[in-house]
Amino acid sequence: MNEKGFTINIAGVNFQCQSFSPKLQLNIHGSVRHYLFPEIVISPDYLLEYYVVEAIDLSGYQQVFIGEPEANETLNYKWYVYSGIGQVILKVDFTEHPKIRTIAAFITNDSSKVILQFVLKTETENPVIIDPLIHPLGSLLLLYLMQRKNGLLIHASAVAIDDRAFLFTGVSGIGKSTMARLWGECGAQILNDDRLVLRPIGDEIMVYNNPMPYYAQYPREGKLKAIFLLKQSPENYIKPLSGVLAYSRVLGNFIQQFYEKQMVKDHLGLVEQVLNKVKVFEVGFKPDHDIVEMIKKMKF
Amino acid sequence: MDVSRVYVKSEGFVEKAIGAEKVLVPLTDNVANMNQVYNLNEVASFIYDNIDGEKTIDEVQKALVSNYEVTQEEALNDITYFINDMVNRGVLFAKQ
Repeated sequence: MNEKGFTINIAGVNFQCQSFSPKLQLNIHGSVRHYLFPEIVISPDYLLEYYVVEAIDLSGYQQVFIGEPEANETLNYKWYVYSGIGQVILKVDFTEHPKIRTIAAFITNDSSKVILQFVLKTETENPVIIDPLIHPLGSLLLLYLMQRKNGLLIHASAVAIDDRAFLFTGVSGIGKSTMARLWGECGAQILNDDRLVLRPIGDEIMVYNNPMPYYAQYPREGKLKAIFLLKQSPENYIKPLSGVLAYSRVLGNFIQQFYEKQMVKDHLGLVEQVLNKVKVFEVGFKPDHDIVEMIKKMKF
Repeated sequence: MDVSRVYVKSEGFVEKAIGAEKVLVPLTDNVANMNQVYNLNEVASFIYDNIDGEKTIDEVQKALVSNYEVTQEEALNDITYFINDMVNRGVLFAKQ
């Protein structure tokens, strides 16, 4: 039990997590274990407060998204995004979770406080132990909370070598993990091969890994120098892209569940900030080390 | 094309300028679709910017001719092609 709460640091953003209900215990040994910050931060970016409630009332809010598990998941659930005036509410209904029926996270604009309400299935003597970034709520939370800190989430792999990081993205199955593995074999550090956070920090675009349900990784980061859009090809080639073509082709790879014009505009502006600093290339590759050498020789 | 016509932009798109070019992101039920964006080149962006619910096609044509090295005929062809395409995609509407 961690009554006083604890802080996790993801992509340079501090999240203080605290349960206010004796029936709910936050697990610091799960997905966030390597992201724990050694001390309580005086003014964290976000305060995540966890409560057990009898029921969640979302009347008066408008439903904007419904989502379901991805095909390869075993967990059964549905997630929803609701909007209210100055608020985003993320809700997950579990159908087969042994202890939890529903979770809702209330995010209020201009407030660092995020209220997470849990409806439990049955009365239990022992507290329910949950991951503070319980799947799939954690991913949705990160998406909306990172946007407010100029952070973007992208489906991609990324590697770092010699103080430079490279990001590889494209449709599912195109070779993001393969590319990361090839770089790993050539001595680069794999930041992650599935999902990354990008944030403009000073003159750099930083790329960070982040807690994921099936990973046990230490925090890693790098200075992003180039984004490569992957294509399978019988021959290796690298083709620079610029302007709207680069922009629109990268755009589709960011994770986004955005609605309302202002939220969409903020997202588009953030993508532009990234592409003002980071070059974009289309890369066709066959899966061997030649492509790694080709990219290493490029000047950025 | 009737050059006295006035066109208006649909509310269902968010535009993003990238240099002199533009990306239009469709909003369906207020939700953004980042996988079906429209790319506008410089001339298309110029025409799009000049369609403001007040200018007639004739005026848009004059603006295009005075800003780019195109003949009256080329300008009208470009505008006609662009507007027809954008009307078909629901980006622009003829003002009633």
